[in-house]
Formats: sequence, C-alpha cells, structure tokens
Amino acid sequence: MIFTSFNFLIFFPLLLIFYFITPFRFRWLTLLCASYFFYLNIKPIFALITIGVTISTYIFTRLIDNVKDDSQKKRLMVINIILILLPLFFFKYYSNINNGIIGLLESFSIRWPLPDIKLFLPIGISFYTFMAIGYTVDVYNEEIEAEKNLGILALFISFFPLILSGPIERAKNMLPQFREQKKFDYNVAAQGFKLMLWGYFLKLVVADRVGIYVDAIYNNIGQHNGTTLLFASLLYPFQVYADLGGYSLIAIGTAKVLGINVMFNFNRPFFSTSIAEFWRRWHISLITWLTDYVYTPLAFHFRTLRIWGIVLALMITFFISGIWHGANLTFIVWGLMQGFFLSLEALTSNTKTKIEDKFKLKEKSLYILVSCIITYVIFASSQILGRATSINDAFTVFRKIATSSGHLFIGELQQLVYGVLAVGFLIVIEFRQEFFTKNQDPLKFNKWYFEHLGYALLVILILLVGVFDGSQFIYFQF
Amino acid sequence: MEKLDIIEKLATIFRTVFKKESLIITEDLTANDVEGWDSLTHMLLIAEIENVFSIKFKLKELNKMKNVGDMVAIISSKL
Amino acid sequence: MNQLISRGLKILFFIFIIIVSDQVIGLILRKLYFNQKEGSNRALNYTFKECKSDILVFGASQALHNYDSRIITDSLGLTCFDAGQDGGHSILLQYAQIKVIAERYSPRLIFLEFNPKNIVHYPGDYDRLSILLPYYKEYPELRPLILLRSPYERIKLFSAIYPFNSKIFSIIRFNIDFLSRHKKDFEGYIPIKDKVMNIGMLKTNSEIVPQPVVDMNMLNALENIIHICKKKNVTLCIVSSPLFHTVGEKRINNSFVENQALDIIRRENVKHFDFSYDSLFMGRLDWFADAGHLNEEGATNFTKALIRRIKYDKDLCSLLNVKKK
Repeated sequence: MIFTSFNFLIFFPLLLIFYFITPFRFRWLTLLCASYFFYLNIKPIFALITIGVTISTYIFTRLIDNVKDDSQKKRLMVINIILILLPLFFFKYYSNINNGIIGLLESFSIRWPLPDIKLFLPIGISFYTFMAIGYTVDVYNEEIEAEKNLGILALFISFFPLILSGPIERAKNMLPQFREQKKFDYNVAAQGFKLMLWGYFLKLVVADRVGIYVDAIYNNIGQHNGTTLLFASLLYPFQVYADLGGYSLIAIGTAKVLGINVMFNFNRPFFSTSIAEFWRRWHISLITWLTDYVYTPLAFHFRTLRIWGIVLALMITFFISGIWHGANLTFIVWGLMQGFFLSLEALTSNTKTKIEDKFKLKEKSLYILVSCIITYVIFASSQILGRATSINDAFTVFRKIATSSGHLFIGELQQLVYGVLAVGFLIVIEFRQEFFTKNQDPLKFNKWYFEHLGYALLVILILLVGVFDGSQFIYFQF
Repeated sequence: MEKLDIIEKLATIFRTVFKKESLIITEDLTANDVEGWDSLTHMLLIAEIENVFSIKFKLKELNKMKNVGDMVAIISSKL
Repeated sequence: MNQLISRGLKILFFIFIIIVSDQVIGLILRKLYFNQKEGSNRALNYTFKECKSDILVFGASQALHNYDSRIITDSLGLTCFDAGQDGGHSILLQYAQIKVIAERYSPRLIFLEFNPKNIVHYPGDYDRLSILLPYYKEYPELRPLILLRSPYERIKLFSAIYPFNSKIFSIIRFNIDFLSRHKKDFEGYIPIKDKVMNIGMLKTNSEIVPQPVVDMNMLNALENIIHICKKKNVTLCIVSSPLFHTVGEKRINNSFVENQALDIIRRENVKHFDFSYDSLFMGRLDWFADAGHLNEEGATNFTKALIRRIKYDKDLCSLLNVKKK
C-alpha cells in the first residue's frame, strides 16, 4: 500500500479506530500488525527480508549487551551490519555487478553464464536497513540498551509510516514512544492531519505534475534544445523536493495522528544560502544518519590530517551516498560533486565570513536572495546527473544548455501551466513560513476559520489539479 | 589538572578554531550555541584538543560529548 | 464538554466548506465543460451528442491526424467526421464512443483505426479512461467501462470536481473565444504540419511492455464493436495506419497477441485494410511526423490510398453506392 493509493484512505481511518480502542499495553501490537498488513499489501515475499533483518538485529544487539569484551562487542556489531546489508546489496547491485563481470569477462572472450535476473528492489529496504544499522551501532556505543521485546524492535523496523521512504528514524527516539501511554490529543492529531494534507499537496499537485513535464523532456534528451533542457533541469529539484518531502510529510503527519513524533526530513531547503546549509536542510534524516554512522567515524579516523582529513571523509561519505542513490556512474559522480562543492566551501569559509562581516552582507535581503539562487543553481546542476540515465546523457544536457538555444518546448500547455503555478504556490507558502510565521504548519493564521478555509482550499486544489493516475502522461509530441 | 584549568585551556582552543576572540566557554555550552560549530569544525576541534592535552579520544567517547561539561569530564579522566 | 462541542463544530465547518465548494465548483465546471467551443473535449462532446455524419473515423491520435475527412467526403460523396482522440487511448475509448453513437443513430460506414499489436494489457490504458468521467452521470451504458478503472470510482465520483480533474485549464481556455483559435480542424481532422522526421527519432519509444499479455477487456471491446455494427447495420472497416519502416524492411511474424485480435477480425468477416507495412510509405521520411504518425502530406496520400482500396472492393462499393473502379 502506498500513501497515495485509495486503499490507504480506507486503511488509515480504520486503523485509527482500532488503535485508539486498544488498551495502552497492546497498542504496539496493533501498530505492528497494521505495519505488516501495510507492507504485505505491496508484495508479501518482501516481508521475509524485513523479518530476517529484524531477527538478526535482535539477536546480535542482545549479544552485544551481554558480552563484556569491547573487541567482541565490535565484532558482533560488524557481523550484524554485514548480514543485514547483504539483501540490500544483492537486490540493489546484483544486475549491475553481474553485467559488469560479464562485460569484463567478455572482453577477454570468456562467457560466464550467470542468470540475468531482473530484480525488483524490495520497497523500503534501504530505509529500514539503515534504521537497523543505526540501532546496532547505538547499542554498541551504549547510547541505548538493546530492546528486549522482539515485537517492539520489529515495530521500530517496520513502522508503516516510515518503511517506504523514511524519515530514517533513530531507535532512541522511537522505542520509548512505542511504550509511552499517550492519550489522544486533539491538537497533535489536528497538526498531523495538516501535515498530511500539505504532504499530499506537495506530492500530487507539485511533484507528479512537474514530473510529467520533466519526464517528457528527459526521456527524449536528443530531441530538445538547450532552452528546454535548462528549464526542465531548473524545475527538477522542485519535483524531487515535493516528491520526497511530500511523502515524508505524509509519513510524519500519519505518525503524529497516532501520537508518535517523528523528525522532520526537510526544512525548506531552497532558502539555504550555502551548500553546507542546504545539506543541513535537505533530506535531514539521511544526512544526519550519514553524518553519525559514516562521516564521523571516517573524519575521526583521518583527524590527524586536519582539514584534508575532513575533505577526504566528506568525499567518501558522498561517494557512498551516491552509490546508495543508484548503482550507476551518474550517482557516483553526483556524490563526488556534492563532496567537491562542500569541501570547496569549507576551504573558503573563513574568507567568506570575513567579507560578509565587513560589509554586513548577512542582513541585506538582496545578498540573501542571490545566495539562495546560487545555491539552488549549483544543486540543480548536480541534479542533472541525478536525473539523466547515463553519464553520456548528462553531458549531452550540459553541452546543449551551454551551446544550443531556441524556443521552449511546451508540449501540452496545461501541464506546464499547472506545474509552474503549483511551484509558485509552494514558494509563496514556504516564503511565508520561512520569514514570517516560522512554523512547521504550512498555513498558519491567527483566526481558526482562516486556517480551516486554507486547508479546505488545499483539498479543493488537490481535487482540481492533483495527478491521480497515469492518465496525464504526455506522449512525446502528442 | 583542575576543572577550571581545563576550561581555560579549552577556551583558547575554541577561540582559535572558531575564530571568535570573544567566545565565552561554560560547562553547558553546546554546538547549537556557537556559530560555525558543525560536524566539519567539530573534528578540527577534537584534533586540536588531543594535540594540546596530548591525549587520545575513542570514537565512543566522542558520541557522549553533548556539551562542554561532558568534554571536560572525559578530558580529566584521561589526564 | 464545551471544548468538545466547539471542536466538533469546527470539524463540521471544515467538512461543510469542502463539500459545498466541491459541489459548486463541480457544477460550474460541468456547465463549462459541455460549453467548450473547441478542443478535444469539444470533439468528444460533439461525437456523443450532435454528430450526424455518414462516415465516422474512430481511433487514437493516428485516427485524428492520418485521415483527412475532406478527402473522404469528396471522393465518396458522403459526409465524414473524424472522431479520433489524441492521448494514447486504447480501443476501450473507441468502444465507448461507438456504443453511445449507436444508441443515437446508425452511420453508414465506420473506419476503426486499430493495430492488432495494441491489444496488449497496459495499466495506463485504464487510467486514460478518465476522459469518460464527465459522462458517467448521463450515459449509464458507459459505467461498466469507467468502473474498469477501479471499483472505487463510484466513491470518488461523490466529488463533483473529480470528473473534471486536470481539465480546468482547457475548460476555461476553450470557453473563451479569443484564446481558442490555435489549431484548425477540418471535420475533426487535425493535420500535423511538422516535417522534422529523421531516423534518429525512431528510437523515441516511450512505453515498453516487457512481457505482452493479451488484454481480455480490449479483445471483448473489439468483438462488441463488431457486434454493435452488425446489429445496427453499420459497415465497419478496420484500418491499420502506416508505421514508419525503412525500404525493404520485412514484417516481423505476428505475435501471439496480434493473432488473437486478427482471429476475431477474420472470424467475424470484417474488412481489414492493413497499411502498417505498406510499401507506398516505406522510407518516406517526408510523409511522417514521427514513427507512428503521418504529417499533412502523408495524411493526404494515406487517405487517398485508403479510398482507392475501398473503390476496388465490390462489397463496399455496393454498400456505399459508389462506382467501383
């Protein structure tokens, strides 16, 4: 089941009823059953992997807590991390590695017949694997005790709002909440519904609509001129943001209605004035996860190299994050590009701060605007690698943007109109949040009826121009 | 070494790493209170502290430093 | 207690606002939808409600852009309307159109643009049936087709806006006169002016179905169209438009899927004019707009070629009262 399916609109209210009539002691059980029902609805066989990861993590973390010797603890941690990473690696990279080896062997004219299986990545596998890894490391670091109740650990790993695409939560935040006896709180639940609604708006009205245009362009790179490619590439970050950000908000809102607080995943990233700030506001749960479990150990290891140790750790972290995003050369270059920009910024930050202080630039709105735009453009240009299907395609896009011009490809005029208006609406709402209301609620008004009207407007807009199914797909040219 | 001595020494390190002469160090100071104290500068800070006090931290200890007070406690346990 | 009541009232207010604005906006959109003066929705309305032409062309974008209704009228002496619809629709839409038309009158001849390859199951084809949602209320005969989208459609249709989802822009645009002079159509036919076809464009295939499965609903739709036409005494010609092939390219053996459709056509003894590998169009880059669509010049030549085939056919000539060549 996914949040945007009609099934979820039936599932969620029913779950709420069950959940709030279950006695406190058994609420975790209701949630666990609901989570597995939710997940099994996608493809039952995938749940086996989730169960496997859960059991392995349970056994090893209990062992870590029970042995005394530190090196033994460490060994147990490493074994569990490797074990639970295996399925992720297998599903994500099998065909790439296989094709790579076949290609390599064929260049030596050896034929090595390994079956070429088209594997479907079990949905959400990287998210719950990351959560399980974080939990294992936390237990090793004695940040938390190993969970003794297998059911609650299973719930942490399979918690349905988070399992499909995060936020990647921490055991320290989640496990205690599954035990807490929380009464239904109207205001909290209302806020949850507000976030869900805004999430649906982002996903259905912004992301999927912009995606129709961007796909039409990027699926036919060869046919489009530089102007069109530039325009599509500048739109694309909004698609990615509204897609993952919208989905995360639905997840956060869903959890909130159940009385469970989940970390925010995005903090209006397009208002960042530097790349470093951008990465503190973009996909926060992944970035903090990478910081804690990849970057920090690496940087610690290289700390004697001072600033160059940090640069090295950054590059490796983004390299790994690139591989995680997709088993493709484009993502590796994408990751290295992020690492490069961040390192460049780290190296020049002293000079930059001096200049900013001298001219009091940080108070000037024009400077802030220009910094936001530069940050956005740098990110958008790196995302060309995220969107293109191959390095060659990405270079074609860069080359065409630099060299060719012409008329903007319109396609179906209405798709472009809806998409651009939706992005405009998003910018206005976030601008107000960022500089005026400073609130996580997208529509914050002093009078309750303004708020109600605002959220009702969101519902109407979703009905009017939300993308509900594949019927809006544009054919190239027709 | 006394707690106050450690804090004094730390203050000098903090001022050079974060380039703020006016920085005042207290036990409950956290990364959120200091502009520029992020995951990048944190490691520079750690390396500098190790250097000045001639000690070595463990990664585990790093995770336990939630504020300057924790830092002082860990440092004094190593001296 | 007081708090409970005030919260309850606020929630009711919220729901009330949504329901009222949904119904009001939905009603306005419905009025405007059926008042459009141009565009593809207008063409669909016209087909369902007004059209009385002797000859009708049904099909997806190829029907719309390949058949010049003016040439058909001139050479056969019968009025002709091209009811093709852009947007990758399947035979399910054509079935819906013919079903509704047949209730109203019997045209003399129907050209059904159809390629047996397209009988493959593809979920997107059901999504595209959303084009029929505005007609759900008025045409009970379309309901089973609309419900193929999903059993939830009945619930979703409680919303008055839902049938017009994503249509507001074109509804407004084609209600305002001065904006709606963008494309000239000739009795439904919309020519494509482009002559940009090059060999490189042949690779732009957007939807690939890995393991083709026959779609039973589509197969049934084909059969039903044939039965409706027989019952209402309408002559049905199934036509497969030219596709771009280089000179000398050989036809690939019919797939299992294609044969299923062809079997029905043969069994029911329906005329089938297959131009998909016609040598006249091979290598004619100048006649194509892309691999599957003819441009204006190509459409003229194709329509003429189709007429020639009809005039060579004794049965059709006697049915249509035209002189056999």
